[in-house]
Amino acid sequence: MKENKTIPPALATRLLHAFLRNDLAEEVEGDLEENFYIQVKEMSPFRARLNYWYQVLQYVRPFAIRKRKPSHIIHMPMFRNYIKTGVRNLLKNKLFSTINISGMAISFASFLLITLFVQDELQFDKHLKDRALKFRVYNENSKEGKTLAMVQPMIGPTLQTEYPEVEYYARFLNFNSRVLFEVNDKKLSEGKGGYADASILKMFDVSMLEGNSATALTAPDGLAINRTLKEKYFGDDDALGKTVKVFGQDFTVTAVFEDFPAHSHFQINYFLALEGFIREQPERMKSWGWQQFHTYIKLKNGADAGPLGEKISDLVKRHSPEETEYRQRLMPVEKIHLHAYNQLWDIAIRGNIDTIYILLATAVFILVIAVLNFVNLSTARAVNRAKEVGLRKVVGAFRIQLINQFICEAVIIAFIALLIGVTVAGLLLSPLNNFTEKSISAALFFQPQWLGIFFLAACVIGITAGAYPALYISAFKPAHILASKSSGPISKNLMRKGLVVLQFMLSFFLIIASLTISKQYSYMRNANMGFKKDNLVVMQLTDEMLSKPEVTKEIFSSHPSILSATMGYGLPGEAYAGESIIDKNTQQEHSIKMLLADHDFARTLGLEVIAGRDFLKELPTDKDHSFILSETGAKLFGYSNPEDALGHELVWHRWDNPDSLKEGKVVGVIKDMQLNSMRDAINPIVLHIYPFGYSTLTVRIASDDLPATLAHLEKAWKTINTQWPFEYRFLDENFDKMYKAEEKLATLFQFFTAFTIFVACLGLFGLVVYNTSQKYKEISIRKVLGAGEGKLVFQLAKNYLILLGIAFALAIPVSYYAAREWLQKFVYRIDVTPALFLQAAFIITLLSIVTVGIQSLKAASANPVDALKEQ
Amino acid sequence: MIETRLGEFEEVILLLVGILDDNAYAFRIADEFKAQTGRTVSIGAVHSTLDRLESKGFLKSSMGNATAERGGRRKRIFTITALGKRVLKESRDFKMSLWDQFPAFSGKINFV
Repeated sequence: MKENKTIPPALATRLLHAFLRNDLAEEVEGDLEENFYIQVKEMSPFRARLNYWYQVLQYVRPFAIRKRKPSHIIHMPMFRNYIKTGVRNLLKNKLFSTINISGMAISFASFLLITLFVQDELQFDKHLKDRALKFRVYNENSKEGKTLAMVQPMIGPTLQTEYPEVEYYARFLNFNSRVLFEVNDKKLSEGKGGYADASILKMFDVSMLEGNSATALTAPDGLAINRTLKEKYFGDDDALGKTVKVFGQDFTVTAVFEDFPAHSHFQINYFLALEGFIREQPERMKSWGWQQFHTYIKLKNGADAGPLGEKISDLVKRHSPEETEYRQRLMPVEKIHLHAYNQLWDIAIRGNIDTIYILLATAVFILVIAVLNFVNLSTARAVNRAKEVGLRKVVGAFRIQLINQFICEAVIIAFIALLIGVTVAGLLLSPLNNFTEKSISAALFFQPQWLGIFFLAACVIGITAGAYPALYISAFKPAHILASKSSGPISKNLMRKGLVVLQFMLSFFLIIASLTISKQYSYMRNANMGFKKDNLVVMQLTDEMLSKPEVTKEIFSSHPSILSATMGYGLPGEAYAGESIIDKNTQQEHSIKMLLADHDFARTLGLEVIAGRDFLKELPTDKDHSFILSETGAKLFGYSNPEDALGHELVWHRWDNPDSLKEGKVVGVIKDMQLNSMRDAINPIVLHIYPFGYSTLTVRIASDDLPATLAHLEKAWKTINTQWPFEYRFLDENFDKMYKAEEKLATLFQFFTAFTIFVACLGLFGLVVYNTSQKYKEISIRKVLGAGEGKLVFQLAKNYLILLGIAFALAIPVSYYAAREWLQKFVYRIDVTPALFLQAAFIITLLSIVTVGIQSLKAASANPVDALKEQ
Repeated sequence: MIETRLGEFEEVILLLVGILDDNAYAFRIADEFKAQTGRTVSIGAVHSTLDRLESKGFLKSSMGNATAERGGRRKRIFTITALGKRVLKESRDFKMSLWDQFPAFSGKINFV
């Protein structure tokens, strides 16, 4: 039997080949093999193999290892040469350099600004301790799907007693209007305040300047004011222990706290002890129906919010004697700013997570478009550099060196663009801050981590943009280039066209998005809200005015510019007087928004009566026994035809005497009126006359000569002897406030969209300039042969228009879907119509025709002799 | 002090090359080293030293003829250069002079 032949382990031999210098391979392999076969004879094959491995590994020594590629590639002089030729190339092709650099600079600037903005938005409430354990309780209407930022007063205490994982809670009862502060002679009205539990200071980690945060709001007359208020009323003196009259009642300053940081969603100037309110109205505080409290809870360490959120959802249902559609939910405190934008009656500083995503996507798009510009222009111009590449190769350049060189050029461009971009962003930062009411600092740019990110970004973007052109150009065959008369191989048109299509798809998408957003907001802003919101001035009623309402109205109305005046409680965009009314027939309580009005209410607000009549002064019964419903309100009681609602009997618990009832009939039906932002569904409304509850005086003024009108109002205010300073607000300001943040972001988005499109057009322009320059001879010959200028322009522009068409066709489905998806969140929304797409198509086509046309026309109108004489 | 420019291991390898003469290639030298000293050494270590000695100019090498053994692969045969010989000699002379200056051993080397 033949002996099994033992051979050296193949893997070890492969390893040896992997690292060993080629010139040593033969002798070493020979030596090792000779050694191996001798070993096999002397010991076991296993030992021999092991020894072979040992011998192979022993060859891992500097002298035996194969050297890497020629080392001069990474030599500094070569790099200096790349940079030098790179700069020379930039200077040689000024137009293309300008297009590349300015496109990239704009992208960088936009990207930076967006990043800064987004980063700032993400900072909200990140300063809170244990923020992962802090939540706000909110109500969700399971039927209508709307959410309310305010909940019932009993929720906080009940959560703490029923669930051991809740450490403490803090409730805040916001004053919807400004409140009079009196310190000695100083009388000013102050906003942004309310009643709060003592724990509120701990909940928001308020830093105390005076007083003790634990006890400050425990006494019923406790008042905590922020630094701004303290300085306003007390200057440099200590405020602790001083007395402040708030709406006529004495309060003692028990704490002065530092103003809430800018990145807190909760911005309050003063807190009154909720304890005082609890003593005054203990019954009301036990309510399971009164949704007026911003309620925060803090969980114990290690508690899990997930299961808790499940458990508390039926809290009100379990405790409330009445039916409820509201479910209780938890929102992490750090998410409130960006995620609670659709909660009603929220006092939080609002952001919007959707906007963040949209802006981030824009930032990425604009960078992508700038990079594509670079790739496109560089590959297009590759033909011009073909000779250079050929020659370099002939004199011995490696391909890797050429790749390095082209990437180096791209990185140089990226760096120059970055420098300009950062400068531009720095200059634009202060207008951006003004516009968005933020205070982002340009100093951020100079922090080491940002500098590092910039450096890295420029490298990455330079390399990304340079990689394809570098690989493409460096692959040219020198013999082919240098031998042929033509200046280079026909460049890959398809790729370039594809990139143009991609760019315009992105632009198209952004335009559609931007149009959709701005149209939706202007639709909401200008939608018919059921009343005329312009030229309405609102003033807070004082006791003196309330005592003689008719006289007061007379005094204010005695000016030609005052068209009408009304007193009431509850206005669109402000608080309303109540949320329910009882159907007399069924004795069932219906959820409806109640506004207290007088005889002039409908006239002043411009409400349209569609059935029955308005309240009449001539009919004394209207004051105590009449109600007016809105259309939706009538439907609530089962009347789809407004006429049928007339005469329906309603009952309401009076405020001045809760035991007695106000009973009456529906005398009129008005057209629906939107009380909130157009984001929300229209609420049913009931109006009735109830002077006891009036809180505001609203006047409709003529739109001419505003200063004189306001002067008159102030004079009238002073005629009525009141302690209050004269203050007024325009009703439409409420709506401005509602939409302001969103509209601002929409405007911001439009700017960035414009930048993006500009960059895309820049790229297109570059491409057209190049292509027409390549076709000069063709154009001239055509011209000599009799082609007209118009025809030539069309000839040149045609291809681009086809590309645009393809880009549109591809972008339509995506943008249609995205626009639809975004609009889903609005109850009242615009339709995504073909007109929208046509408009977007029109904008881009126009811009491209201008871009392409100018250059084509220039080429077409040039004298053919100039182009042809050279040969 | 005279610079010998040879480490102990280098000197032994150099001498072995001289001893093996036409057969002085890495494996044979490593084998001979073991036979002469009883210490094992890897072929790679020997090869590395040979390479160094060659770059110092003490050795020169050339590829031998292909033989039927070891898969027909050629061997690199090392030979001592004139400089190598001189360095070896200097090294020996230097040590001898040191021995001569050692009073206890001068004339009569006494191994205990």
